[in-house]
Amino acid sequence: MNNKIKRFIFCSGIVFTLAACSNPPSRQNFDYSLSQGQLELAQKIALEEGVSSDVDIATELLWSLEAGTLLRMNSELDRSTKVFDTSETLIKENETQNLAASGFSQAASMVVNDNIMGYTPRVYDRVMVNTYKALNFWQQANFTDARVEWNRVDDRQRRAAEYFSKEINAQKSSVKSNNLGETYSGAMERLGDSGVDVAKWAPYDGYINPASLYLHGLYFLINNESAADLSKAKESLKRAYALTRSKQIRADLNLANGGRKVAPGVWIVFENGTATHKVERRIDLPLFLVTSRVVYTGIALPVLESGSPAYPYLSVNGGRQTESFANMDKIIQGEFKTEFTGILIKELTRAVLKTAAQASMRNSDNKTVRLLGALTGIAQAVTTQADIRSWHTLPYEFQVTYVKWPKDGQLQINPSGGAAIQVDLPATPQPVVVYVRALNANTVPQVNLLTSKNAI
Amino acid sequence: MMKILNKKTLLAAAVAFSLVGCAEQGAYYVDSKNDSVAVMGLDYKDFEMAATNMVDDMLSSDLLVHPQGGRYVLTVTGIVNDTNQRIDTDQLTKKIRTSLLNSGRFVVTTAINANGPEDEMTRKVRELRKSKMVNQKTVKKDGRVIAPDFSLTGKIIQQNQRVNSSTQQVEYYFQLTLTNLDDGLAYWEKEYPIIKRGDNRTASW
Repeated sequence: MNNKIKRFIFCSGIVFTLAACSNPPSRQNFDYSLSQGQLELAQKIALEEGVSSDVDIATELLWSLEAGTLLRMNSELDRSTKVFDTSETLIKENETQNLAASGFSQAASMVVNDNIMGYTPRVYDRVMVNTYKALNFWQQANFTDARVEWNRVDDRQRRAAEYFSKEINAQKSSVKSNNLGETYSGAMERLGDSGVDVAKWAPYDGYINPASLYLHGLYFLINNESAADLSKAKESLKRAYALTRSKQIRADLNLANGGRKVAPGVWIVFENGTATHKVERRIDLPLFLVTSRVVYTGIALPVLESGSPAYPYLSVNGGRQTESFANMDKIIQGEFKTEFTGILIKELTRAVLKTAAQASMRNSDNKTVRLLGALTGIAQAVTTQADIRSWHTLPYEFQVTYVKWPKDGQLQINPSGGAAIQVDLPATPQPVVVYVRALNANTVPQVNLLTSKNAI
Repeated sequence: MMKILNKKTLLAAAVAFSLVGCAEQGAYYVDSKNDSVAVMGLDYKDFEMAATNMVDDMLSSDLLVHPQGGRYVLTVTGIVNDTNQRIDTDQLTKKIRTSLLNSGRFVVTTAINANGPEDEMTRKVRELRKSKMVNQKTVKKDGRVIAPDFSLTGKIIQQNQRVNSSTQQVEYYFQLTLTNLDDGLAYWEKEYPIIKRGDNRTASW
């Protein structure tokens, strides 16, 4: 084997090692299992990938979020809470990690792509971790710990608005300081041409998740222990109504204004479908970067593809229908929009660095350096990958409706176009939440009952 | 001397010492009286401080001195944990109960409580009345259990504030109320705040 071939094989090896895969096979198998309604198989994959097998401790954040959600759906609530608790520990590590300590992976990600770095939790991820834990505890009638998790949800939401105002300002100055103005606007134009309209990704005011806000309000309305709790309920319901203009939330606010005692009745909350997910969109860079001797130059960006509902709505006892009050897609899109500028800046900077290195090697008088230049071009092509990681088991939207306590203590829920589900309500009439989760039309909807503290 | 302490030896020694510095220290006892390490959440020092302060204040109240020099009977209804920490509020009430018992002015009933008795046995031992196995003379009689004079309730509240981009302030308020069950009046109330400031990068729990 001559030296050239050896060098070629060696360099190719490096290239493929560097090409951290943005959509690994485990993720593809996971998504396929979900789409087929095989929740136990999906749970097994998520646990294997992100949770230590013997003690249920999260080891890889994104997978542990998927595992915690599926354990919840499969009614393994203690395990779900434990996995989410340890996911929160990983989130905390991410939040407090020393920037200097992560310098190496930052630098490496500039050479390769963001997939070689650990998953950075989004703000909505953090809010939903605490929301799911609060719902787990509520379902177990552990009102003490549910209260703590709802308080955490509240604090996470407060921190969200703060975080984004800081982030947006930082990105504006980054475009200026990197002299990327022209390249940036050029790239945005290209994106527009390829059908990606960043402008339409608009957040809810203050980057609030109205679903978590409403459920927080509903919890303290139904389970209030004092006038202070009722004030919490009113505040959250008022804010949730301002964001969503939902008729049901308005009715609940009226109920909260009526006093602490809430008459027996059933709220049907429907967590519907699967959330928006990211896909990779590759675009050519504006021409000024391209030289005749460059093999490849381009960028790969994550863009959002809309999620989908499992059913249009649920009808209850042949009458009331659930109506959408919060759209997870809108929450994710709004947050992604603020990050998108940062992602684009980083990707442009990375492309400039890689292309400049490639061009200078290709222009060399030395044959070997020129060969390396060509290989660098291939490496650039292979390593240009968008970070499309996101929490796939989040819902597309949240719906709600309310019915008075049925005399026979029975509830029949009909997913539009699906099989009817019979729900036995508790023997003691009380305000309860029937919480329905359907990932898609292939999964049997999970139905859980959240009782009232005041009825026990 | 210089031969022994050549550059390489010095370098090796420096590396060795820096590695020793990195070694994990095993478990060690904390001197609770001189422990100045603070965490953003609630820890044992906070409970100790809150309980001591509350009890001192309660015992300084003239309203809580039994007129015949006897002891008041206290029931602990419960303390609501309205913080972001999953703490056991019994940690606080136990300290308070212990100090009040030691003061000689209160006894605590475990038989009567708003959420059911803390200790079911007071009721259960009376069910032994029909047991052939138990010496009936030793079975506790009805009409012996003492009703409480006072009820202790409370709440621990947490509020998080942002001081600046790098600092957050976490405020904890320990609130306790002692209600005279005879007339329903609050004979003693106290709020004890604990304020902490620290890193704003992460949540306080």
